[in-house]
Amino acid sequence: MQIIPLFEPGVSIRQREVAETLAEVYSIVICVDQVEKMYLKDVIPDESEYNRVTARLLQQYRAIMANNDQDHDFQMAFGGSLQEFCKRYGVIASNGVLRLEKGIPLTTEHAAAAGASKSSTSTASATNAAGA
Amino acid sequence: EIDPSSLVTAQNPALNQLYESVARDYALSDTMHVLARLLNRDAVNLDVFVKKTRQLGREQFFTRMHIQNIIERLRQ
Amino acid sequence: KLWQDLRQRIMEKYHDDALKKQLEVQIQHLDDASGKLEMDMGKYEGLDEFLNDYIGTRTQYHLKREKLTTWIQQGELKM
Repeated sequence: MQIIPLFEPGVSIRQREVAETLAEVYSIVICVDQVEKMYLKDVIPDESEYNRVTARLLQQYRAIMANNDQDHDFQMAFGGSLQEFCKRYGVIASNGVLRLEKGIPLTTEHAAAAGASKSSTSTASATNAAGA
Repeated sequence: EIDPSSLVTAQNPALNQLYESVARDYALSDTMHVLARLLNRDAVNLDVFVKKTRQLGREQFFTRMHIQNIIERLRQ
Repeated sequence: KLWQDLRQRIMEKYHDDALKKQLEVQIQHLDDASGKLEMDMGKYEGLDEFLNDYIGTRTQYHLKREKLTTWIQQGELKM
């Protein structure tokens, strides 16, 4: 058997595009996971830095998902859910997966939880701030 | 002098490719861990850490996709 | 004849073990080399050059480890 190329000659430009998008999703999950682990280990001591970087990654993930929501090729390759995608590509990044599913940075999540015990209005504003 | 690892070289180029891709997959994970250690000792800043982790992640995705393609073809 | 066969088998076994040992040494060297690269990261002009060297060394390390594992699993090396 001969050398097997990354993309077989018959692979369409469309399929390559889907692979590029999946690579972005993959790298976002890994990166969000790493950033959160670094924050939890206090390697990133500045909370606003953690927030800035994580919010940006979450936003990029949301944009990719929104853009490809109706794309059949993408959805087939992605597997329909982040969990399924991670299973397919052997991603072990529980912090990253949870963060992307929740859609808000860890610090905002905790602020929201703390706010919820006092008043429901602060929870709403914290969530809105994260979405902005 | 002979290189002992060259003796374990598979006859099948696709199988060799599989060995190499799997090794690279591991190496990329190791390199992401190195980036984390570099961030820890302030040898890189957070933005560089993020940028390079993303880059390594992308490459790892393509490496894993390739591994799956090779395995699939080897099974045929 | 019997003696010759036995001697041949002992020689092969010795050869096999020696090569295996040599491979183990190479693996250890590659592991040490990557550790040294990490410590000397500051000597690099750019981060990308460092990362490329690091990936290369770790790939060789894992490749040789995979081969050693396969070798051990197969019992004997078929030449």
